[in-house]
Amino acid sequence: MLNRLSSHLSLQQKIVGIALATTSIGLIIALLVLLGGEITSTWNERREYTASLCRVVGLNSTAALSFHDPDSATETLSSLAHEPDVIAAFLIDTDNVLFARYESEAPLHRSVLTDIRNTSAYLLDTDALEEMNDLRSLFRLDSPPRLHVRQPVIYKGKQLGELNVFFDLTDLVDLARKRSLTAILALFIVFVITWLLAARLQRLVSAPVHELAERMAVVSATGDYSTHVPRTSNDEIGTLMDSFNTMIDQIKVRDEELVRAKEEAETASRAKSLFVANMSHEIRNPMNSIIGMTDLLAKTPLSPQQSHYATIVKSSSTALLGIINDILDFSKIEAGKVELEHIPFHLRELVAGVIALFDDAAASRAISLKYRIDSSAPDNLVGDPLRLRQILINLLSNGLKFTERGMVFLNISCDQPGDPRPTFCFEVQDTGIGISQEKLDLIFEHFSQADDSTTRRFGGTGLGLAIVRQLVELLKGTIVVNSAPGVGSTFRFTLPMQRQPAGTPEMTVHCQQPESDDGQALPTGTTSADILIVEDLLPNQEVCREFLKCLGHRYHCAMDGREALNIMTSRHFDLIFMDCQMPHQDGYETTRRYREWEAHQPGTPHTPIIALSGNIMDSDLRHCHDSGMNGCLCKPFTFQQFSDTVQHYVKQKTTAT
Amino acid sequence: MAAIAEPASEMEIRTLFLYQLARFASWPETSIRQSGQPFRFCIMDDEVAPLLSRIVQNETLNGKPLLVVYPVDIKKLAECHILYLAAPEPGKPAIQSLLRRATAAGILTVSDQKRFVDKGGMIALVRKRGRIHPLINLDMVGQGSLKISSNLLRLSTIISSPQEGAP
Repeated sequence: MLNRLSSHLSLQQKIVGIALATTSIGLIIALLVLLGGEITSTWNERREYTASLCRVVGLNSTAALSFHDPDSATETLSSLAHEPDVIAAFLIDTDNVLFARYESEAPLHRSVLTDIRNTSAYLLDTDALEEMNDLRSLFRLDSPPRLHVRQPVIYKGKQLGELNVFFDLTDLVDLARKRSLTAILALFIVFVITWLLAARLQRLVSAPVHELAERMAVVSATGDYSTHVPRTSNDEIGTLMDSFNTMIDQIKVRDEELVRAKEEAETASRAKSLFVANMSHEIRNPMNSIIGMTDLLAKTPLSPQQSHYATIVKSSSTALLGIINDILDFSKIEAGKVELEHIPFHLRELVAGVIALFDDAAASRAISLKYRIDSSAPDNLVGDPLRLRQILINLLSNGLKFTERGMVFLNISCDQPGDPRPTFCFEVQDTGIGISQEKLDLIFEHFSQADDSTTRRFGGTGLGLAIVRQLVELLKGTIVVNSAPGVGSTFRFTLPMQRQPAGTPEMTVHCQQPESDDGQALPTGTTSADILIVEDLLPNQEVCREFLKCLGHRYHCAMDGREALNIMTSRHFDLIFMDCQMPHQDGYETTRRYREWEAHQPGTPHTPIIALSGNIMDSDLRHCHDSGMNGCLCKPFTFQQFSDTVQHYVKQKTTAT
Repeated sequence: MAAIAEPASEMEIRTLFLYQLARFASWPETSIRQSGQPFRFCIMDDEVAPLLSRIVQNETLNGKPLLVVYPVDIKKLAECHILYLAAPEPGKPAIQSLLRRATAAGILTVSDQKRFVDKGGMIALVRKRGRIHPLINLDMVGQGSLKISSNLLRLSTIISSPQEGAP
């Protein structure tokens, strides 16, 4: 109770309270002792005085009683008139007969007298007689305050009668009352003085504590560990302040160390990410040649064994590309280089495209791959379709990878379809091997799969889900996973989206398309077009050349930007593929100059320029767009991707013209 | 406790007063009346003696038993504490000498006659306004080396001028 109470009080209140409590209790005890002592001693004095008075009067009445002389007794009793406290006296003989009486004539006692006369009748009954044998004086306190003394009159061992005297005690009670009031007043005054003193003096204790607490609050609020509390006293609080300062210093030193260590680590991490990003860019160029050449090789007449080898090279290089893409994605996210798009897209188109990528893989393993989109869910959205696509691809490929039979199901629902900023819920359900409860937390970590054995059995870098989570978080969504080993897993993520207000031009990006079938055919119904390839790396130039040959288009080549600009301004092309990074003058600069030139040539038809880039950073895409390019084809690209792009722009051209 | 039946006769009250006198006077210690001896009322009245005997029955004074001596042996007068003479004829030489002897022996002499205190007696229990009233000759009391309680003196009539020479 006391503890609970004290926990709600401030230090100041506690100190004042303790001072008040101790002072008050001490004073109350002292006052009680003094008051009790005074009242007791006054009372005892009065008792002794009245007893001796009664004894004397009794003794003086002995002869009167013995010799039957009531007049003498009355005379003796009348001597009590000198005692102002005596109200009345009655002398009773041994036959219990009233022998003599005295009654005060003071007006003060008149009312009490009647009362006494009425009640003193009891004196004359036989019980009272028996009591009279008690030799001591008998005291009775009546109310209104008066003292009744019964003094047996005994002379030489023989009882002669009994003297009853009534004393007025009003003064004694008044005294007690007065003293009590004085005590209460003193208590109140001391209480107030103590309170004032304690309220003033408690600062000696509480002020340094208060200051310390405030400094601590400032330090914790601002995180400024350079403040010190000046030591103001040499007591325990001073020690506390010293300790606090020491602690602050230690924290400061540690903080600095930590910041330094963090900065070093971040610098190292950035350097690593940059390195990886650069490396993967460097890797993309040769990969482009490998994949392109393998595609071309597959189109030449081959023996079944050669064809088989080519297929293996193709699938291995594709797998390698996937890994490189994963690492690159992850490095970009780690390096903080991801910039989100905010462009219009169609949800159903996007989802259908993603599902189509996996159709064949699912069918070949007899796994049912289905999806459902809430009919009420809006279709025209604004956001980052590339990221959403990547998330869905990663989750679906993850689901398919770990499912040996059964199904993989993508469900998309929208909570507030009418809202301009609806939240979408995506669920990817599979009937795969599942994940045990204790591994659930780990699966979103980098380079982590539920089990090391999983990596050995199913392959993969273990980056897919980590990328998914980072992308979902970048898009301000949340992702959770429910899973039961042997039953399957459900990945559920929510993303806030924005509805498309009106039709906005879209920039077509043919990028990062995973492997598609090699089976291609010359697009029918298209005429042969003039296409310029600007590329400084001969292997890549050759890939493009061979692809265009396959597609039946005419092509020209340029080795760098200057050469390209000369050719571009001297004759018309239906489509230009422009490598971004070239010596002397890069692709962006070349495009910009060409567009400037183009703008001053009225009547010249617009020539679409497609970037060929190994860099798939968002800033690069925007750079392409800003410099006047119409699209971007990311290296490495497959024949299908290349063919699709060409077909798209050439057809556009033909329909436009 | 002896309860006196009402109404008490004058003689009974006088006898009671005689008994009470023992309590309101003090006697000098003499060789004959040693401590441990009973307190002796020597009564020379045949009416008072039986009444007093009844009163003092089983009573003590200062731890001494009370004894009523009747008839009085003059030879053993010195053993008495109180000598009561009923209606003595004052001036009679035998009485005078008896009183002198008694005074010398420190005996409280009591009678029922007013004149008794004038003629060498110490206390007279006389009738006054319908009540028995003590008359005390303090000189005679002083001669007998006796002391009378002031309480008793207060309600008594003091005869302070003795007539020594009177017959």
